[in-house]
Order: sequence, then structure tokens, then C-alpha cells
Amino acid sequence: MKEKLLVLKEKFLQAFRKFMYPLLGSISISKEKRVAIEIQQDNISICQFDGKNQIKQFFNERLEISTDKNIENASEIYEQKILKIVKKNKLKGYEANLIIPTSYSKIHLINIPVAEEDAASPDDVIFSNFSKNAQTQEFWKSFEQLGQIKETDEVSHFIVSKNDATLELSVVVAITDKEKILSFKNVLKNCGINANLIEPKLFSIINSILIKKQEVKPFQFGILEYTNDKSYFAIVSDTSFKFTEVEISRSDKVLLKQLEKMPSPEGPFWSEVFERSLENVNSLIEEVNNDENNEIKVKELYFYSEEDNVNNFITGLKNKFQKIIIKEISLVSVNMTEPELEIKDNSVEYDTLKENLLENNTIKLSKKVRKTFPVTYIDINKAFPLIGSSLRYLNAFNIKKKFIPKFQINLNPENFKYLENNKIKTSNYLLNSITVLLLFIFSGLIALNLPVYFEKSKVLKQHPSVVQKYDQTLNEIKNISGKYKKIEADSKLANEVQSTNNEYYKLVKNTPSIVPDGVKLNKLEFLDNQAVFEGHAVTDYDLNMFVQNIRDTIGRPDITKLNVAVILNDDTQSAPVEQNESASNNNQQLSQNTSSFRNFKIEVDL
Amino acid sequence: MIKRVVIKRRVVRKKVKASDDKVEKFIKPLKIKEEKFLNPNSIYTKMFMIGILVLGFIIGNFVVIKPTINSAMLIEPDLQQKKSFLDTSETSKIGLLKKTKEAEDQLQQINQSFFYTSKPDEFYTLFSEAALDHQLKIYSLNKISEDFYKKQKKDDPKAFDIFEKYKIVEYELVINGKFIDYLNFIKTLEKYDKSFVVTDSVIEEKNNGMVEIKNKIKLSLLNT
Repeated sequence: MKEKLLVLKEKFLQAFRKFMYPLLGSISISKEKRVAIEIQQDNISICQFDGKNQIKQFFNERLEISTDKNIENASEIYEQKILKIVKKNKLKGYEANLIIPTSYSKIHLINIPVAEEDAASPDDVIFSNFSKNAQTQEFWKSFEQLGQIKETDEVSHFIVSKNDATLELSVVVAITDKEKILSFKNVLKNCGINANLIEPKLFSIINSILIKKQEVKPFQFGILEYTNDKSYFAIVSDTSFKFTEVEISRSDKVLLKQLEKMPSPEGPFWSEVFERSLENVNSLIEEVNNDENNEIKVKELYFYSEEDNVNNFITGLKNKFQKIIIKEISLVSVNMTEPELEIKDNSVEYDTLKENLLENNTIKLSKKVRKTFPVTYIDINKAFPLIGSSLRYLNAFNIKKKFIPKFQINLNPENFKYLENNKIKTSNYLLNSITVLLLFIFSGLIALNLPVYFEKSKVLKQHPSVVQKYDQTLNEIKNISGKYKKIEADSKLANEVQSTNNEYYKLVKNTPSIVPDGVKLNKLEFLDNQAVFEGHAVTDYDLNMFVQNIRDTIGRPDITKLNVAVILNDDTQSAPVEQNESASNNNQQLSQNTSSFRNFKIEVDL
Repeated sequence: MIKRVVIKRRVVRKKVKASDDKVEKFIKPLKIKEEKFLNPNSIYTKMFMIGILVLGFIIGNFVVIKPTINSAMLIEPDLQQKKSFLDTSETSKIGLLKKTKEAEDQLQQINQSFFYTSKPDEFYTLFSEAALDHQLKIYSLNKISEDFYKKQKKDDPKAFDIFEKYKIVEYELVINGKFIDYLNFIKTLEKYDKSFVVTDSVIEEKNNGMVEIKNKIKLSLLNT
């Protein structure tokens, strides 16, 4: 279970590195204010790369220090001289890639077996347990081939490649006396420069050459760094690295020094000397060239020396390796016309071919530097390692960039601390930036929403009281309305219940006025909104008038009964005798003592 | 005579030439601070701060601000409606109160026309006094029926709504007198504006210009 969790954790970290480290690495590199510095006995050389594609500064200055002094025994003088230069060029606070002589380190190339989980992928090896263990001296002491490691020694390493088949890492290990490193480092530290990246000159040279070589993969070349003291030879390809220290005996060193005073290195004697001196070089080249697995053979050999006069040595070198092109790196183009070219069976032979490092697609000199370059430079053909070194960064996240050199060994005793601090600083910077950015975005969003929020808060705050007031008012209105409706209903009911005598009153009141003189009413009935008039009229005229008056005042009359009544004159009180109208007409002349009347019954709908 | 002698002193200032070596001694070294191991916990602290910041924003924006705005936007039309209602409610209320008052007055006025069950003698007093004033004789007064007010239901004509607030009482009344007196009697009753109705009436002439009036009167009484 625990193992599974560890595997899971490792996979998570790998994924995290894959996505986050390119970003963090780019930030880390952009934050490094860095210059490459090389301090020699009498001069200091400085080169600054802008982190993109230009050399911003590239100069050297004489320190004017007497030849019997060096940085270890006269550090104060160096400090004073360098301090002036630092102030003049405003380099205080910069970090530095310091080039120290290759001879200060014992360099070994060893193969180290690693556990599978420690080297899951070539890119992750640098973050594996191996790299953490490699920070301790105890780890390196277990490798016999490294020889005795003193407490005062600093062991630095760089993983060149990983063999997946054998699960072995090919590692360059450099053992350096800490005191020597610190003598350089402290001088720069007292001048306000933090030299936290220190590399042997050989690797600066290789990294410089690789600027051009990486444009034409695959490649393989040899590099010989030659000095009167110690010389080193390496074969570099895009996939491998072979290294050896050139073992030249003390007597041969004297002879080679004398060689430069001779007119030419021709002859069997000098051939013998070169044969002995370059035995290691020759065997390494043969080893590579005879390897059947290696398709690309060593056809180029770059030569670098700080010595002033090495022309005869180069000629001797050319004589020794006749099938290999001997090249020197230069920073100017004018010398390119010097070589005498002779093409023989696909091989080129000439005295020395000078290759201009600045003719590449990766970096170039800035306009400012081009104005003074190379006039201001003391020895232009020996300055190029600074360019390779200036491309170095702490690169704590091990990101890949076009300009970042392949060989990234750091002799600084506090390398691990700087790498860890760089990671923390970069992470903190990114997190701070994210915090500020988020703060800005969030503040912006909140600021945009805040006025609306306050306005809407008021609405929300207002709403309950308005609703309460509304409900209260609505209830009041409902109550009033209910009361009104109830009153209305009551009124309606009361009106319905209420009985009025309008029609009856009207009938009774109007009756006296509608009865003409010749009409007498005997009976007036009022029933179900119907009035019935009963009586008698003296003449038809009177009756007609009465009917007309009814029509005008009360309603439509309907005569339901009409007859003639005869009344005796001597007995006016007697009731009229009823007759039919036709009968009445026939008996009109019956008696002078009788009077005739019209009895009627009229119904009127009110 | 004393002569004053002024001795002029010429002060010659020494020009100090500092050698380059001496100047160099005054140059203050630009020492840089020793870098210490940084604590990786600061990364976690900052991540925690970012977490707090994001959480704060999420809570602030998505739990407080946005819901408040959304809630307010939902209730805003309602609030506006209620506010505009409240703006006009006072006028409506006053109008309604006025109408209610008017209706109340009107109802009171209508109610005043009713006879009250609490004063059962009012009708007779009113009638008899009016009759006496107009020389009419009330021969007889018989109560025919007495019931609550009933109203046919709209949906069921056979059923009735009964209103106990009102009582309907029917009398049969016989009056004797002159027609002109009866006419005045009627006019007097009309002035009383009381809730009664003559449903059936027969006015018949008798001897000596006298008339006999047989009326069926329906009284509406208010239960009090």
C-alpha cells in the first residue's frame, strides 16, 4: 500500500513537473541578473547574455597586477581593482557564472547504476533520490575510481546521459578544492557580485562550441584544451561524452615548451614526442572511431590554448591527426580566409581552420557591443569561452531552452542551497504574482459588483418593510373594501326587503284628479300591481275622458266591463238598473223618470 | 609717533594630492549578504493565502454578492409594484373610506325606514295616529303572517335563502272614512317614509260619501 502511494506520489510529481516546471523555469531564468566572469592573472573578462538572443555586454579590462601575484595571495588588490570595474559597469547585485581554470578540478567520467524508480525518465533523473543523495560527500566516497576525497574538497556532478538498457547514469564528477573556489568567490562577493555558478573552463569551451554544433545534429567532435600545466581532451556528441586528462610527462612538457622556439615540429624526434604526449587523445579517438555502434566518426578537433605561442604545437597536432580537421574558435570573420584548403577523399586538410562562433542562429552581439567589438578586446580569439558560460543559468527547474547549454556542472559548494532557494524564490514570486493578480482581478470584480450590491442590498433591506406596509395597507383596503361590499350587500338586501308604496301612493293620489265630473267611482282595487276602477259615467264623453286621463297618468287602460244602468229620477239613491247597451238604445224613450249611466270596469297595469 | 605696521600674512594652502593607492583604501567593499536556506514552508503559506483569497472571493462573490443581487433582481419588480401601490393606496383608501361612509350613511338611512322588531308597537302607533289625525276609523287590524325574509336561490328556484336580519309581517287592515281623508292619510304615511307596502287594496264607496278601505299591508322589520 505504501509503495503504491509512493508510486502515485512520484507520478503526480512527474505530471506536476511536466506542466509547472517549464513555467517556473522560464520565470526563474528571467529573474536571474547574471554575467559570466573570468578572472585571469592580469585581466578580468565579463560577458552578459540578455536571456533571449543577444550578448548585451562583452568586455575585458586589465587589472595591472604584477606577475608575481595571484588571486589567492593578493585577494585585496584584486578586490580593489575589480570593485572599480563593478562600479563603473553597474554590476553590483548581479549573479555571476565564474569560469575557473580546468586544472582546479579533478574531473572524472563514471557510470553509476541507479534504481529504476530513481530514473523513471531522463528528464526526471535530476529530481530523483540519486540527485539528493549526491549532495553528500559520503555518497561519492563509495566510488573508488574517484580516488581520495578530502573534507576540504567539493564534489560536483553532472548527469551526461542515461543508459536505459543497463540502468546506468553517465556522470561527470568534478572534485575541487573548496579553498580555491572560495578565493575567487570571496573576491567577487566583496565586490557585490554573487558568483553562485562556477564551472571549469573546459565546459565553458564545450558549451561555446555547442552553440553552433547543436544546429546540425547529429555531431561529434573532439576538444583539446592545452596548457603548459595540464591538458584535457573530450569527445562530445549529441548523445555521449568521453573525457580524459592528457597525460604529458614533465620532460615532454619542457620539450613542447621549447618546440615553440624551433622553426618547425617536423622530424622523427618531434613525432615521437607528440606520439607520447597525445597517446591518451589518440586512444580515445580510436576507441570512438572503432566503435561499430557509433556511426559518426571524430572528424573535427577543436583546439584551445591560453598560451600565446602554440603554432608549432598545432602543426604537430595536425601532423599527428592527419585525417582530422583541426579547428580553432574565433569571434571575428576576417581570419576565415587564412586556411589553405586541400580536399582529399572527403577529408579536409589545412593548417588551422578558424570557425567564427558568432555566425550562428542562436545568439548575436547587440548593436552596442558591435560598436566597440573587437577593438576593445585584449585577445579576441581566447575570449569565446565566456560566451558559452554566459548562457548558463542556475536552471533549478532543469528546463530546456534553445540557448541553455547542455553541460551544466556547478562547482559552487553551495549549489544545492542555491538551487533549492531558487526554486522557493521562483515559486514565491509566482505565487506572489498570482496573489497580486487574483487580488487585482477579484478586487476589480468585487468593485464592479459592489455598487450594484449596495443598491440591491438596500432593495432587499427595504423589501420586508415595504411588504409589511403593503400587506398592512392591503389588509386595510381589503377590510374597508370588505366592509364596503358588506354594506353594499346589506344595502342591496335592505333595498330588496324594503317595501315602498310608490305605485299605490301614486294610484291613490292621482285618482281624484283623473276622475272627470261625469264619472263616479264606486270601487278602486289595487292588486298585484294592477288597478281596477269600477264606477259609472254619465256620458260616453265622460267615460272617454276618464279613460284618456288613465292613459295619460297611470297606465294603459283595459275596459273589461261596460254597460248602461238606468236610475229612477225620484229615487236618486236607488241603484242603477243594469242593461245591455243595445237594449238601452231600444228602450231610450221608455220613461221620462229614468236616467241612464255607463257602468264600467277598467283594469290598468301599473 | 607710532607707526602701525600691518603684517600681511599670506596663507598658502597645501594642495593635497591623494595617491591612487590611498583612494583605493577608501573604497567601501560592496559585500553581499550571505544567502541562507529558505524555508519551503513559505510556499505552502502563500498557497494557503491564495486558497484563502480564492475562498474569500468565492464566498464574497458567489455566496454574498451574487445571490443578493439575484434575489434583489427577483423581488425588484414586486417591490416597485408594491411601492407604486403604496403611493396610490392612500388616495384609494381615502376614496374607499369615503364611499364606505356614504354607503354606511345610505344603509343607515335605509335602515331608518324599517320598523324594528324591538318596537313592535311602532307600526300601530304610526297608523293609528295618522288615522286619528285624518278622521279615519281603523275597524280591524289582523296579522296574517310573520316570517323571516326569504329570497329565491338563483341556482335552485325551489330553495330559499333566509335572512334572519329581516322579518316580513303581513296585516289585514280595514279603515273607514272619507276618501279625501284617506288620501291625506296616505300622504302623511308617505312622508313617514317607512318600510311597508300595501299589497292589496280595495276602496269601496259606502253610504254618505264614506269609503271602506280593505288593505293588506306588508311590513318589513329589522331585527335588532
